[in-house]
Amino acid sequence: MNVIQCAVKGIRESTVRPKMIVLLWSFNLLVAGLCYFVFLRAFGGAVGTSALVKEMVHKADMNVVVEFLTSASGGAVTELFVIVIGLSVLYALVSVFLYGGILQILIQKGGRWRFAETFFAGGGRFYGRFFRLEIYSLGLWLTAGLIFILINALINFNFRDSTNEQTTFVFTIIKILFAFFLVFLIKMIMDYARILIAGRDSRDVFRSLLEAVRFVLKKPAKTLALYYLLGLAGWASFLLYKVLDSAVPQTSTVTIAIGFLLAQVFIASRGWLKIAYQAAQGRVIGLI
Amino acid sequence: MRRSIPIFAAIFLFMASALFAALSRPIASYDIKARLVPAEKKILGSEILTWLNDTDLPVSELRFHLYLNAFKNSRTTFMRESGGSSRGFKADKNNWGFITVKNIRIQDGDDLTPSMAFIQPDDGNADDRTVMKIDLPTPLPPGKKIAVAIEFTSKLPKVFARSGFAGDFYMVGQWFPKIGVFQNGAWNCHQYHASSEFFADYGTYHVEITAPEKFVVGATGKRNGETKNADGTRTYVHDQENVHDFAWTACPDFIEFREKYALAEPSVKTEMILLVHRSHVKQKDRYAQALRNGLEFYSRSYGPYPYETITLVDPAPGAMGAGGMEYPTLFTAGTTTWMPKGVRFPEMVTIHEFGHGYWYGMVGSNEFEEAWLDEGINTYSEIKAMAKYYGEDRSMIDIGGLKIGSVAYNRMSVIGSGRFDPIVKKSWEYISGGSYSLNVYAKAGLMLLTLEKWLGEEVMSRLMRTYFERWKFRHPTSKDFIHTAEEVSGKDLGWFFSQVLYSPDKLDYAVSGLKAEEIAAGEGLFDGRATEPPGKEEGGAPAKPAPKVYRNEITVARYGEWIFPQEILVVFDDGEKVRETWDGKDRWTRFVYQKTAKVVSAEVDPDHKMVLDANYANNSRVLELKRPAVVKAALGFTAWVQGFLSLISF
Ligand SMILES: [Zn+2]
Repeated sequence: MNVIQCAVKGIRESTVRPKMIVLLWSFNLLVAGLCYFVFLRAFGGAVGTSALVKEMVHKADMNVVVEFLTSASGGAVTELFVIVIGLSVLYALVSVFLYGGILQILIQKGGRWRFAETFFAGGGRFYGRFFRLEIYSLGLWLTAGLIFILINALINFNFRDSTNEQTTFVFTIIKILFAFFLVFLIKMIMDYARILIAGRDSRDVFRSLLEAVRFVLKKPAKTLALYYLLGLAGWASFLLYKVLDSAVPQTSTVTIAIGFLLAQVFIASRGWLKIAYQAAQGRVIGLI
Repeated sequence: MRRSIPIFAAIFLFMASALFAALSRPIASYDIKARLVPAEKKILGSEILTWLNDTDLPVSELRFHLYLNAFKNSRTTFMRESGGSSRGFKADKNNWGFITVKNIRIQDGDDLTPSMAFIQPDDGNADDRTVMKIDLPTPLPPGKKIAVAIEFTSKLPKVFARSGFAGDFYMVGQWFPKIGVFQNGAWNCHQYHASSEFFADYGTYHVEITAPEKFVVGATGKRNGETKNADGTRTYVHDQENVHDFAWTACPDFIEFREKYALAEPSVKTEMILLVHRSHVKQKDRYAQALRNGLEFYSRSYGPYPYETITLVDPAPGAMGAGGMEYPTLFTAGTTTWMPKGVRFPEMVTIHEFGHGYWYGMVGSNEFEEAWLDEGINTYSEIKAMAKYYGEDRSMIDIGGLKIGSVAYNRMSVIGSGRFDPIVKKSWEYISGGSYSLNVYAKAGLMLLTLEKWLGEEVMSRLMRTYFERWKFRHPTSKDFIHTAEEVSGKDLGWFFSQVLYSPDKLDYAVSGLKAEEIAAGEGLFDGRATEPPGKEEGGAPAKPAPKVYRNEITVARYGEWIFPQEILVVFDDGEKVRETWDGKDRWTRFVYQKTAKVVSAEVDPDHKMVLDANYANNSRVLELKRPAVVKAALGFTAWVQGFLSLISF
C-alpha cells in the first residue's frame, strides 16, 4: 500500500468513529474548561468592573491587557500560568491512557463489542506499558538534544565572525526547522512503538521502541511522507478554522458563542487527525 | 516681490548668527589628528586642547575623562557595575579596550606627564583608570586660556557598549582624552559607570581622521576636506562649532546616502547623511523618512535644527551594541535584515537618537547626575513624535491585530516594576540598571506627558520652547527646568515635581465603590404613626405608585502615596452627568446622591490626564458587570489553552 492509500485509509478509519472523536474532544474541553473559570475570576477581578472593559467586545484594548498583566504585580497572571502548566502535565498523563483506548478500538476485529467498554479496557490494559515507553523515550529526547546542540555548535563555529545577517538569519530558520523535525521524528517513532506494543500485545516495551526506531530508519521516506501528509490535513483544518473564525464578528453573545463553537469543532478535528495518524501508521507497519 | 528678499536675507543672516553667537562661548576646543590602524584596532592620536577658565576661581589642576579605560579589565568600575554586559550585549574577554596617554604638555611649554595620576572621585576603586588628573605648574587665572598638547593611543574593544569594533566596522566614541567640566569651584569629572552617560563643555572641534582608503568614514560636523595619501589612506577633515563631543565611524560596507533637507517654517537647511550597512540597505527609506520626521518634529516643537549636517550611522550586524547612541550631529540607529514594517524599532531609534541632538546635544544637561533631563525629556518628545507620524495607539507595534503605542509600552515598564528609586538620582546610584532606565526614560517621559495634560498642550509647548531657548549650549539642572515650568505656566508646581521627581512612590486613584440602593419606605416604628406599606394612602384608595428613589453612593480612594487633585465624572441612567472635584488628600472620599435616577458609572480622571496612574482599570467602575466582554476574553483564553493542549499531546 502506498503512502496516499495509507493516509486515505487512516482518515476513513477515523471518520467512521465519531464516538471516539467526541470522547477526545470532551476530554480536552474538560481539562481546558478549568482554565475558563480561573481566567474568569482573575480577569474579572482585575478589570471586570472597570468601564475600560466596555469596548473589549469590539476590539482588543492594549490598556486592558496591560492592566491585567500587571494587576497585583502580575500575581494573577503567574497563578494562571502555573495552572496551565499543571493542567498540561495532567493532560499528558491522561493522554497516555487515551492512546491505549484508541489503539484498542483500532485493532478490534469483528464480533460484538461495546465502544466504551473496549476503549477504557484498552486504556487500562496498555497504560503501564505506554507509561514506561514515555520514560524510555527520554533517551530519544536526550539523543535528539545532543544532535541539535552539536549541529548548532557546528553552524555557530563556521559563522562565528560572520557579519552577513542574511546568512545568520537563514541559518536561524534552518535551526528552528531542524528542531521541529527532531521533535516530530520522535513523536512519530513513539506512535510506531505504541502500535507495535498494542498490535502484538507485546510486553517488551524497550524492544518495541528499538523496533520502531529500526522501522523508521528502514523506511524513512514512507514514514516521513505519511507523517507530513497528514500534517498537511492538520494545517488545512487550522486555516479553515482561522478563516471561519475571522468571518464571524464576535461582538454579541450569540456570535461569541458561535466563535467558541467553531473553536470546539477545530479541537474535535485535532482528535480526528490523531486517530487518523494511528490508523494510517498502523496500516504502514501492517498491524492495523 | 523682490523687495522683500534682502530683508528676509538680512533677517536670516541675523538669525543664523544669533542662533549660536551669544549663547555658546567655547570652553573646551579640540584640534585632533587621528589615524585608524585596523590591524591593531587602534587609533593613534594627538590633540591640542584649548581650555578656557570660565569661572572666577584660579584652577591649579586639570581633570580628564579616559573613557575607553572602562573596558581595560574586569575590575574597572564600569565592568564591576555592569558585570561585563550592556543592554544585553556581552564584553569579549579577548578584546579589551583602553587608552594610553603617551605624553601631555603645555603647548610650547612645560611637560606635564610626570604629574599624571589616576583618581576615582566616585567610588575609590583603585583599578579604575577612567579619570586622569594633571597638576598645572602655575594656577590658571579666571578668564584665561590654556593650550595642552596630548599624544595618545586608543585601543577599541569588541563593541558591546557604544564604542568599539566588530569585524570591519568601527564606532569611535568616547575615544580621546576629554577634559571634565569645572563648575561651582570644583571639577565635575565622573568615572565611566555602567548606568551613566556623559557631560562636557561646549567648544569647537577640528578633527583630521586618516583611515585606509577602502573605508567609508562619517563623523561629527561638516566635512571640509578630503585628501588621498601616498600610503593608501585618506584623510578627512571635519569641523564643528558649538558641540561638546566628537565621534566618528568607519566601515567598508557602508553605503552612503546624502539628501538635502529643507523646512520653510521654521527655516531649516541641513544635509542628511545616511551611512547604511550593505546588509540593511533595503531599510534605507525607513531610516530616511524617520529622520525627516524627526527633523520636522523637533524643529517645529522646540526650535530649528541649527547644524549643517546630521549623520545617521547604521551599525553592522554583530555591532548592535554600538546602536541607539547619540553624539553631536551624528547618531547610531539600529536594525536587522528582517524587520517587519509594523515593528517600528528603526523609526523609534532614529527619532529618539536624533532627538538627543536637542536634549543632550544642544541642551547640555549633566547625564551623570540628572539623566532624566536628556533621556526623560527626549522620551517624552519621542512619544509625541511617534504618535504624530505613526498613530497614537500603534506607534511602536502594528502587526495584524496587535497594536501597541509608545505610551502603553512605557506604562507597561513603569507600572509593572518595583518602586525603589526616584527619577532624580546619580545614575550609578540606582538599585539596578533596570531601575535607572525605567525611571530616567519611561517614568520621566510619562511624567512630562502628565504635566502636559495638566497644564494644557499650549502651555506645555511654550514651556518646552522656553526651556530649550534659554538653556541651549548651557548646562541646566532639574531646578532650572522646574523654574522654567513655573515661570511659563504661572503656577506653583512645587507639589508636582517634589512628588514625581524626588520620591519613588506611585500615583493611583480609584473608584473603590459604586452602589445604587432603592430607598424603601421605612419599616418599623416611627413616632406618631404606624408605617404603611409603600404606595398605600389613607382611606385605602389605590394610589398611583411614587417614582423610585435611589441612594447612589460613589467612593473614590487614593491607593498611592502621591497626592494629585482629582476630577470625578458620575453618569446616571437618565443621561445626567455630574462632574465633581476632590483635592485628593485623604485616603478616600464619598459622593452621595439621592435621586430618581440610578448611577451607571463613575470615573476618576475622566480626561485621562494622569498618564502616570499605576492602574487605569480601577479608575472607573460600572454598576453592572460587562459580562460579554469578560466572557469573551475567558472563552478566547480557553480556546487558546485547548489548542495548546492538543499540540502537546492530542
Ligand atoms: Zn536616549
